[in-house]
Amino acid sequence: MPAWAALKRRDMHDLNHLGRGLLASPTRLWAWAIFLFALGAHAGYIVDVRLHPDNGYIDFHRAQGSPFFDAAMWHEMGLEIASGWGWHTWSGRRPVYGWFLAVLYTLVGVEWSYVAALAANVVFIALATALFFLALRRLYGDLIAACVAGSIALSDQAFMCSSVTLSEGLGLFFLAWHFWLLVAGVQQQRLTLLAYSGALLALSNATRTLTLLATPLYVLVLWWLLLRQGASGRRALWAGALFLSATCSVTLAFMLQNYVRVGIFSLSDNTAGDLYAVTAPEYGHWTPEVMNRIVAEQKIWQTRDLYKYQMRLAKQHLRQRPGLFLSRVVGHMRAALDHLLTYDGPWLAAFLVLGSLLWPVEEPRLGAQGRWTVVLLGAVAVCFAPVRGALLALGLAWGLVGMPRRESQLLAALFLGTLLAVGLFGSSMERLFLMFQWSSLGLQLGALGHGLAWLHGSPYRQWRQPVSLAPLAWRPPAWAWQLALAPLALASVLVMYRNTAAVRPYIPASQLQPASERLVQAAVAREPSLFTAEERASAQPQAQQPPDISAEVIAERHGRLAAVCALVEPQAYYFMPRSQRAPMPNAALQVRPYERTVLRLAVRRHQGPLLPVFALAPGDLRGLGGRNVCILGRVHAGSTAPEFVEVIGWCPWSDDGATLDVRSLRLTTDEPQHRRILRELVETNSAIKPQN
Amino acid sequence: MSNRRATVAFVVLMLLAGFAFGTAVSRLVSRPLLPVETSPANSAPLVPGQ
Repeated sequence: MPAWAALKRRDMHDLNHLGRGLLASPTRLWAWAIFLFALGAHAGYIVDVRLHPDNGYIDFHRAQGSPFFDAAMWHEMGLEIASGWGWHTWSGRRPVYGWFLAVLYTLVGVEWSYVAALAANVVFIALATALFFLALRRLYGDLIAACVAGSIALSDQAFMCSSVTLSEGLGLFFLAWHFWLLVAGVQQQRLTLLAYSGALLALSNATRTLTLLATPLYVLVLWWLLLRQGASGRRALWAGALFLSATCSVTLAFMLQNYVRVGIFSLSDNTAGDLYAVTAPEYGHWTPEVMNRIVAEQKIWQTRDLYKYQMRLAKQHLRQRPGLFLSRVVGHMRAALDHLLTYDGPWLAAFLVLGSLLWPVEEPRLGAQGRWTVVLLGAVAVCFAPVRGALLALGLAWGLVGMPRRESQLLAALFLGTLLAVGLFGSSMERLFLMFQWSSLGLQLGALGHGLAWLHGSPYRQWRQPVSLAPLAWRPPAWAWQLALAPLALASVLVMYRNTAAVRPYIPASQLQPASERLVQAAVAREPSLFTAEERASAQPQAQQPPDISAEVIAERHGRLAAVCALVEPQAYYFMPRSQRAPMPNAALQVRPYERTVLRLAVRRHQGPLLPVFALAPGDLRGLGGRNVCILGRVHAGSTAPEFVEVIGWCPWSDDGATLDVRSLRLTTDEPQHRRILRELVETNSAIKPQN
Repeated sequence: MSNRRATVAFVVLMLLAGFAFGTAVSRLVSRPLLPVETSPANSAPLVPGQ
């Protein structure tokens, strides 16, 4: 029966007619609607942002269509591994997203790498949303589950994370999958599902989510729930033990690979930095300054040394001032809750209005009075953060004492575990809120639903629905998988081999080295006052470290080196309000993200205080119109990203890349001068047609 | 309307509605996610974040 027929007949709770087909039941209708709408919405957002880089949320992970900050690091990690250069970018970081990108990039090739990564993000966010819905509907019914899932799919954080190469999409997908299997495993009392769920929890934490601390709470809740459902004590213990062992073994595997490769026994290297910042009296939570100071003062660069140094200090501080640490943890948790309750307001508003309209469909017995109750409660909850706090507390309490749907204890456990992680690591950054915003909203809306159910004769009793692990209608027969898998695997290997072969043979920059030395020497000779003693010493030929990879990867593909003048844009540009942004002379440059990233890699591999960047413009790129420019930059202590390279000079370079015109070298540290020089370079070439 | 046609119409409609919504969000919203006072531009980070 099509779902709208069910809607018309208002027998939403009669789910015994689960037939085949997309629209065979209201639940399927909801799930597919949420999935498709989220898919379309994120695709629409990304397409618009790619076509008009100034549109969308202003965020420092995206700069003129290219990945920036952390997003650039993930993109680099993927390209680096895919290209066979080893793994140097964020080498101790939680690895799964980087590995995923590497596999994706070898499959689609380097030119489509960024687009493919964004497409994958869209699919993961949409899948995560649908899975959240499927899990939560078993706790609170279709309507509330749809509201919570919708609020995740359409939140600004979700749009921001899906439109760049950030690990949130994949992490959220694993988390949603984990929670779905967890609820299903409890309801069906199937231990295998619980083991899968534990493994997925670990996987989601090796990707992003920081929800691992919920594990002990989960184990307790699992044991309790199974006992309450009439399982034997032994089986209940087994359930907890299986879940725990699955989570621990997968987590341990990831920790071991970090230990073998980098020498740190941790899921991610930044746990040390976070913990150190929370325990150190002079900080409180992590900021870039924490790392910069260590690098500048202690001269520690290696991931392993940094990790060990920060961990040693953190333990020392913990022994000396445990009280300070505890008070900070509590403070972070309070700040996170405050932020969460402020942030939830608009989402609750939107979905409560929607909910009040749809509630009669979900619960036909609810009359006009009930609808007005929803609107009234919603209005109060939206206006006052303390009311949202009370709703959250009520939801938590309801979850913990296990009222009509006892599985909401699982949601409460996840929420509390994530909150504890936020407190311990002080990571009250906005992006983390995606991870437990939905559990918070689930608890709040759940509490609201419970309240209404109580007001109107407990309709929740009717919501006990048969558990099905196949809510999506179509499943291929078993033989189809086997038949499809073999050629698919073979094709994947062939495609990977072709792409890897195309990417890998980069040329050592032997041609660039003499030019680089000449540039630095000429600059130091021209304006010695601009350079420090160390930099002047490094200008001696013997002190120069040759860059061992270069932009010639791009040359391989395009016949010439590509221009990457995005490097010289002042970073402040990205944080200006749109109205105050001056048109940048090099905004017309259409550099593909992977080209920029490959040059970033070249820059990062270069050692030494002065940095020659050979940014060359082939004719087919709009921008400098064929004029080759070499940029001289100063590397600040602690810098690992070329955005923070201070540009101090430009020099034209011949088209063939062989000669460097050092007589035309322009040197300045003044930012307005930077713009002027760039503008002149652009204006002297008639082929340039700036877009702005 | 047959079930198959209804399904196709439903899929296309949901995707299109979503696409329109996402495009509208991208065009209409342009506020910074971090307040300007605390944005990395002012603290001049040298290292990408955690």
